[in-house]
Amino acid sequence: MAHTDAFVAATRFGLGPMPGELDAIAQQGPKPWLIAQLDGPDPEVDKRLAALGSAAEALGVFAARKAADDAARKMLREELRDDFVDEHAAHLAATACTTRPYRERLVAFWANHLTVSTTKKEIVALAGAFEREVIRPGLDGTYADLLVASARHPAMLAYLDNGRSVGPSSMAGMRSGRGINENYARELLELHTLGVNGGYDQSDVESLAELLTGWTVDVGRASQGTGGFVYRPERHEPGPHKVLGKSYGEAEPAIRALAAHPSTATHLATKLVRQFVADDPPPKAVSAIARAWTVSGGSLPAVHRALVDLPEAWANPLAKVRTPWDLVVATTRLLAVEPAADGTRSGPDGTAMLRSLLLLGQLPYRAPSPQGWPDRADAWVGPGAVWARLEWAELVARRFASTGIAPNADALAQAAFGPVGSATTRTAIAAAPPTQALALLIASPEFQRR
Amino acid sequence: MDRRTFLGGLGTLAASASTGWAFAPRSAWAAGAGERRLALVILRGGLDGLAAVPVPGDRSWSDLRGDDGDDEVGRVRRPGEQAPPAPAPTPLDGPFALHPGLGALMPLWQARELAIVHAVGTAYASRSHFDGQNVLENGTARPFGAPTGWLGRALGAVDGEPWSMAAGRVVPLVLRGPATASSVDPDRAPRVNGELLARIGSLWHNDPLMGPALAEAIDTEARIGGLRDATPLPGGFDRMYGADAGLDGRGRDDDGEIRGSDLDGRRKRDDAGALFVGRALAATDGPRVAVTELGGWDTHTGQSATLSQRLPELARTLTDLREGLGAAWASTVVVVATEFGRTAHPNGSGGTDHGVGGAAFLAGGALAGGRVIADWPGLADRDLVDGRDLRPTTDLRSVLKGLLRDHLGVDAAHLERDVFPDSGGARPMDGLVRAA
Repeated sequence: MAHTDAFVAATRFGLGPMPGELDAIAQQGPKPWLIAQLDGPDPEVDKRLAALGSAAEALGVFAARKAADDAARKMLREELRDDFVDEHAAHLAATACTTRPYRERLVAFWANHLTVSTTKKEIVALAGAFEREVIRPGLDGTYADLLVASARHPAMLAYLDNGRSVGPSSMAGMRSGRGINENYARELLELHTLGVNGGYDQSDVESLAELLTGWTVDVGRASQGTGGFVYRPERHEPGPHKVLGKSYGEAEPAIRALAAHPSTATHLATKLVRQFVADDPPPKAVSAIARAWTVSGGSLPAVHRALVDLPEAWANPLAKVRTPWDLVVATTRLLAVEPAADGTRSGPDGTAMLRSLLLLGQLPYRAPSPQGWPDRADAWVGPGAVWARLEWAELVARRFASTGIAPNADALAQAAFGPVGSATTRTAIAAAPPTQALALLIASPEFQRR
Repeated sequence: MDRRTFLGGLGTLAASASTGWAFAPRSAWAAGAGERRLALVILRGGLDGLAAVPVPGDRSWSDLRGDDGDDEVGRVRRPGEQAPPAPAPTPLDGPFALHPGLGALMPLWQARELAIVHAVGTAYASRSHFDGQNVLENGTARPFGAPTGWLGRALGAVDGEPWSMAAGRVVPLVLRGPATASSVDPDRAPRVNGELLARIGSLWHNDPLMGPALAEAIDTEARIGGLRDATPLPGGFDRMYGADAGLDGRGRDDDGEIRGSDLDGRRKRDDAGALFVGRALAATDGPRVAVTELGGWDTHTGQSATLSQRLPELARTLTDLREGLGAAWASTVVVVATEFGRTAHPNGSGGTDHGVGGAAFLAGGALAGGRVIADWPGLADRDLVDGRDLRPTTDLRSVLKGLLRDHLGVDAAHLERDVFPDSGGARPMDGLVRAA
């Protein structure tokens, strides 16, 4: 049914509809609406993010910090924290406003796949830049290019310790006694490409780690336009090194070979299908995406188009549970563009969105491990977790009420999930007092899912 | 409407999750054994067993891990720099010692309420966190070998339907299974308008995912919600919206800020909620099995400093558990386990990489402790797995089988067939539990 498809386009692929958007999508055609979003970035989003700093600039701040005394360091630390809040509030507001929500979901997906996390302090200043410099531009190219760009970015080099890895037989290694750190090599194989059963072994991890020695962060001389990356040959473990049976003298060809490996296609197809179809990815859908991947040489636009063509993605409208990020963005899209009584529209409050994510346990760029945030219902819904969701629903409703605008919860429910809303939910919202109806909408099974 | 009346009215929501175990042998939980408690502390990231429990008495030790036998693993010194004096590890049994960061556990050691299992491993040896943790929790010999956990399966066949809980937002894999398992925030009581909650309850009643989660959540609050500290740790909702935000119906204009501590990994005093978990286990209406976890053990770099902070947190988790349990400590066993140990040799960054064999800890008043349980394989390169990792000579499942059998009275055949399938090579370890 046309309107159910519009709902799926807006919710499974997108980030949840703004009021009235479902009708517009149905008019344009759900699939064309999605495909059109793949041909380039949302200029409005780019504009909102344009003023934010680069990784190179952040590294300059670090360099300054090293030289500073304790008091200055403390101030810089607080500045970094404030900057993080402002930066990610801007990201969230842009995401909430976008006319290309499928694209924004893909940004979040790939950023999560190539996770960097503020569990490592340096990432506080680098995560946003990583997204802007690596992930966003990477959506329009091949996975190999995206992967190489991520491998060269100071955020990834710092997060997974490759910046500190030194070949024991290299000049620097012999001089200092420092050696290999295999953290990044392992995660590159296990998480970023082949997958844990993709056909590599411990010797591949070690060889890849040796190949990667010398790829490090350029703190302090970042103004030379390197983006924060520098290759230090004096740290490089002399080769050649064999990865998956093939010999390499340097890292980039090996990384590209891993990106092109058939196990990578299957591994990443599985993750994509989990995001866009179901927690347990149906094998047929995985094969279809893996095929599109292979046939296109890992072209991300081709793969993103193939996802839209998956019949399984359209078949079961509420199959996935919304993560906290999904919930906060969807709620903001639904509510934040409501016109005030005087006709003005208040834009989304990115800082409030950020606080909500903190409360719900998904602060941006703070995944607990390099695996990133999980994408299964049972990782997000449990007895402890439901309280946070309910309290948050109530708080949002109260916040909305305090603006003096009486929400028309019935109309909003229709706008959010009209085509798939149950009679039970509709009746419950209609029967609730105004102070509770909006909370009930947000807490409804339909809104908690996508 | 007071809480009890409200919850009574929602009684229909509190459905049990038990299914399909009608024919499993009922184990002897009740009748005296009903007082036994088990707590599991999962250390996520791969604790370096050789740092937590160094082995200075092994002839390869000083080549491997440090010149002065101190706790600084692979710390790279600049030329001419002297090593600062580091507190020495505390000698235990035989060649073993205890990292000074765990010094708070020495009274437990002396009271024979602490034991260490060294050179221990699961059936998994491929060094992936994801798969390793899955095996640690699922109790089979391979990753994703079961959609349930060994503890969930063990409890499913125990009389009296003891329920279990995890501190945190969701029920971890280890507790999933036929028996009732809940998850709970140890720090903060939820506050949702009662009437709204009733409406949401009706809305979720038939939802297969949300309905049971909410029912469990409400039931859990009724049973143990009151055991939290009266003055909760600052955090989350209270800091963001003010302590009374749930009651006066108003949001606040001066909403709280995101703090640096939210971003830079500084930890709360009681990350594992151990005090609350202990009290919950001791409560009449409370669970008899609880799981909590601590993260941050994946020490690839600069591990000396990291472990100096993390190990005291682990020690405090155990002492907090003891404090919360009170008199019930005497009938409790605590297991502390991690997915794998780490490389015997330090890496190039003052840390260690993923390994195989490691150390586990046992504690509790019911434990026959005061010893290191290890069939020590040695630390020469030829003794290491792939020339790099401590070789596990004890299967963690042997330890768990012994505890489940002797402490919780789980039927031995059930242990072999259902709780730890395909574990024929792991004989249940005897003598872990004190005679009653």
